[in-house]
Amino acid sequence: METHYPLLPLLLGQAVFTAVAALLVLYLVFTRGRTVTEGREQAIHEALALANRTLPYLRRGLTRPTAHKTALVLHEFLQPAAVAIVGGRQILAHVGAGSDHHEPGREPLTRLTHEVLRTGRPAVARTPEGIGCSRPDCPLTAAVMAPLIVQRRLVGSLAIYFGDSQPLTAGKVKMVRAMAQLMSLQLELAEVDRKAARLAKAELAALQAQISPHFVYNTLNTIAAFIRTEPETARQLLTDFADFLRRTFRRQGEFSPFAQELEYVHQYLSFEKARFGDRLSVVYRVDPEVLSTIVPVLVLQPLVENAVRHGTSRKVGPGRVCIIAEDRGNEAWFCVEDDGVGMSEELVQRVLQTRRRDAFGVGLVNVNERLRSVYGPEYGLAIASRPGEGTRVSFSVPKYKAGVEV
Amino acid sequence: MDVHWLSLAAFVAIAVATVAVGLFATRVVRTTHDVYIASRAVGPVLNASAISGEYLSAASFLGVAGMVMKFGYDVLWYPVGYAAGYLLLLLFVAAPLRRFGAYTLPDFAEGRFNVPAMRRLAVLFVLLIGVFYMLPQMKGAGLAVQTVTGLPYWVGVVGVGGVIALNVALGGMKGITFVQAFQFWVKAFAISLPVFVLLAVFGSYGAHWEQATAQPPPALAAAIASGHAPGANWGLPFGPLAEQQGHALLFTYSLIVATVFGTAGLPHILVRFYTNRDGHAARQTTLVVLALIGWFYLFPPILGLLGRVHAPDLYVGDRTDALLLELPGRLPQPWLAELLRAVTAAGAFAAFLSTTSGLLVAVAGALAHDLYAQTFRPGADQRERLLAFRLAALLAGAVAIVGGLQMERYHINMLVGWAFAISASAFFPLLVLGIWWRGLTAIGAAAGTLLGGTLASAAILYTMATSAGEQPATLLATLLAQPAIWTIPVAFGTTVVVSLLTRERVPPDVNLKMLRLHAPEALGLRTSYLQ
Amino acid sequence: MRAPFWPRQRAVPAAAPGVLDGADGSLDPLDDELPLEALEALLPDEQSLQEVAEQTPYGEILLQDLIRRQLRLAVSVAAVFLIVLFGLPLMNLLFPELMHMQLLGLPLAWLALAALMYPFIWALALYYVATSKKYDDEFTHLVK
Repeated sequence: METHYPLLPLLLGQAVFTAVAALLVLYLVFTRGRTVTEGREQAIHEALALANRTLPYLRRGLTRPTAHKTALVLHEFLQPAAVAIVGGRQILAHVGAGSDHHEPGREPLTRLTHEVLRTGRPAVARTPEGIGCSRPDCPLTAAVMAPLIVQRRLVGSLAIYFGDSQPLTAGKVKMVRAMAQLMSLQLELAEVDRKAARLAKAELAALQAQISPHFVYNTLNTIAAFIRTEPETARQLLTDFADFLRRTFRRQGEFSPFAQELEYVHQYLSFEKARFGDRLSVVYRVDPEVLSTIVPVLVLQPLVENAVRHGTSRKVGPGRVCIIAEDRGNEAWFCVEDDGVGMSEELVQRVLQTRRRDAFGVGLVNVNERLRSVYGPEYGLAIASRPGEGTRVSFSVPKYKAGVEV
Repeated sequence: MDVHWLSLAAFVAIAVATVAVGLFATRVVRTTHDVYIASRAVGPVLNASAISGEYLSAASFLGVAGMVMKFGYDVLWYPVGYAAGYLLLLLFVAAPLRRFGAYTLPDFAEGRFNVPAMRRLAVLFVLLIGVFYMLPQMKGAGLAVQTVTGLPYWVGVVGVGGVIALNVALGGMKGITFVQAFQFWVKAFAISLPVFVLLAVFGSYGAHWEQATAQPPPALAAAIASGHAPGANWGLPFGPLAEQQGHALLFTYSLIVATVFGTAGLPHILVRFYTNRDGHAARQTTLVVLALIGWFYLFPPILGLLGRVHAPDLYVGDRTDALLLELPGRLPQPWLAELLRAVTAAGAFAAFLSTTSGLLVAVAGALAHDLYAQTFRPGADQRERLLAFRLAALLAGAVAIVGGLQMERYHINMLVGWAFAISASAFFPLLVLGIWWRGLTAIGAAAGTLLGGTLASAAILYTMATSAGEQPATLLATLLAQPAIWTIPVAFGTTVVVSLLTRERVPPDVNLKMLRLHAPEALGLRTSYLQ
Repeated sequence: MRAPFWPRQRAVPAAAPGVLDGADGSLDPLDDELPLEALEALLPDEQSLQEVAEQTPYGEILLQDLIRRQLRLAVSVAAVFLIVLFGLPLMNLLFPELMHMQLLGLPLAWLALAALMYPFIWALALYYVATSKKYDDEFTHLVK
């Protein structure tokens, strides 16, 4: 072995040098501007204790009752001259001095409040002139105000007023600002709660739409018709139907692998096939690579049901439904085609915009909205149709999206 | 040079069969009560065949045998590293990545930290590795067409590269799993059959070893005497390949490191794991892959040995990369020679077809999905995204062709080894630490990936630009020519240290990510439990 | 196998042994009362699962334990492999006579690298796949 340079020092030196240089740069970039302010911890500590007490109120949203209760707590805790909470363009609560004319429900009277609501920045006033109340005899002489911000939107302000005997200190100013931030956070949580509730409702609506009374009625009728002629088939159908209903009600969560959606559709179609017999033929063209792709639940079945109901069953003679799942690299593409009566261009436009539960059902609209909200507006349904020739409803989803998991 | 019509026919047959398999795989299924979805899922054996098919490129099919012939023992590390990479992939990456649900490396990079910038960083190196890996495939194509038809090198590169790019752009990935699996079996057949036939005609493995080293036949002896072929040290460790380098042992280690740690970061391989049903199936698939490619790699060394004994004329003019296509011609029976030549030509065509298609899909996907649709033009609809994918495939194909034209002087296998080095430096630390270490931060991962990938790429580009071999065989040159041995530790070290320094930026949901990565599917965990 | 969202009706061996996967592959829906309760019993133990999912201290310990075991297994297998792999060049360097010993007409060094390495890797992989599956199953049992 010949060695031209001492090996180990060279390697080590190179590695250490590169690492140190990189670290230095990154450390400088990511830790800049981080300073510790005197008294900040104390202010935060107090604000936290307060937040703990206001939490149950604001978590329910920013309304007059919740604002009033919060203001009471703050007033009791901080002992200022007055506490005011403004939401939107009106006073929601005013507790303490000046409550005779700063009445809830009215527009804010002070110039400073309007300034905070305009700029979205905290503001401080040490004199009555600085506050700028429209009533010259107003007892409020000093104030600290801070905005309430929910999801980058200015929703109101918090104002703490002080009297003559209460000097304005830096600690108080910081305290009020921290308090406003915490209240904003509470409101943010309230917003999330509301969204979750809306989502749950939407999901339930989707499930109810899914088990449409028509479908249950039709299927039971079909089974009844078989009971005399083909009791064995009827028995089998009944078993499957019970299983299907159980699956439907047990479905939880927002997402599932496409394979499960497909299986579900397959089961659904077995009833429609029993009903229509030879009049309905179904074709699958599924790339196995997309079976494991995670999709929103119940995203395929409404499209298939739509194809059967509006595409095929209204048509005279046999109809065909084609279910396609295609591997497109980073995306998976899904499509449901029928050769039914089709729709006009204008109807196609209406289907995706309608919010009513009309003939085209909550199904397509619901699927479209869920797809768009999960993946973004560009991932909605695409509908192509021609009267008399058929309809093709398609959508594609990315094979992986953060947060989309079973 | 005369045209080998049968081999040309084999080219065409493989191309036609590829399209046919793609169409067959996506055939229409009419429903009956017994069509069951589960039966359509891809099992471990099929998926493993597909992965092996995509993996065994022109480098494995043509390059290893040619380079063994040229440099002997030291080259054996390449196939061992290529195979062993799957062991590390199995141990540290396969099951967790499947459980995480990521399709591509950028998916993982973004999803692990919820930081979109990480996606773009990963995309950068996916593109670099993808293009780099395509170059040797183009060289294989040029060489194969040249050998079979006598047309100039560039005709093969442009023709075959264009056909593949067009096919990917138009057909996309019709039945890609079946197509790739089919091509694995073509390659496996095409590399094993010549070995069996040649050994049957010319004598045993051991006998050839004697001829290659101790008692060279006259043609080989002449080649050695003229200085074209290496002498007795061909069969010995630290032979002619390592000898060019300043430090043979270090070179050997760096070569091993690059190939062993690089497999997990190959963009076209990782996506195939998504098709597995669950984490355990991903492990089983990898196990089958190891069996398939381990079996495959038994053959190239034998072919290299046979080439040294029976085709020493290839040493002159440095044409050893074409060994597999030339070797059948040394058989005494002309009909058998022509037949075997067609078989190996088919195998070579399958090799660069499958790997280039896979890489093109990965690169075009990254361009269209990650760059176009997510960065430059969010809001592009279904049709626009598909169009973007097609154009990206053509663009990437064009880049590969232009690059491939410049690659005639590099060994196929060496180029692939370099792609592995970049992949290992940029992605192995990201994957392993991302999967197993809670303390990883996005900044740490970004720093490690960026530094490791950049250093490795820079070293390799420098080596290529200064044309390896002409420079003095110093230690520094060795470290630049095979950089993995120092770039991987640098990347790991940077990632860990920066993560520790930015400790307060550990993603708050890291426990949830760990749960995703490691909880067995049988648990039936769902996000709904978390709400 | 990925666990289905809902337990399949067919997967109720306790209630009706022998009827399982019967000729028509299903149970009679009319005497469904008992199986339905058995189904509930088959559902995952929501409590422990919830602990793991919500990462309570108990759940976190469970998952940490699994990750640590899997990592220890992976690292040990990798160590065995890397020692052999990185040991080979050293063997070549330090014991050239041993490595040039002829076996089946080929020197040991060549044979080891061109053939023996692959079954060795495969055996390690097989051991790993079996053991990691065992760990996964044990964890699933523990939690469910």
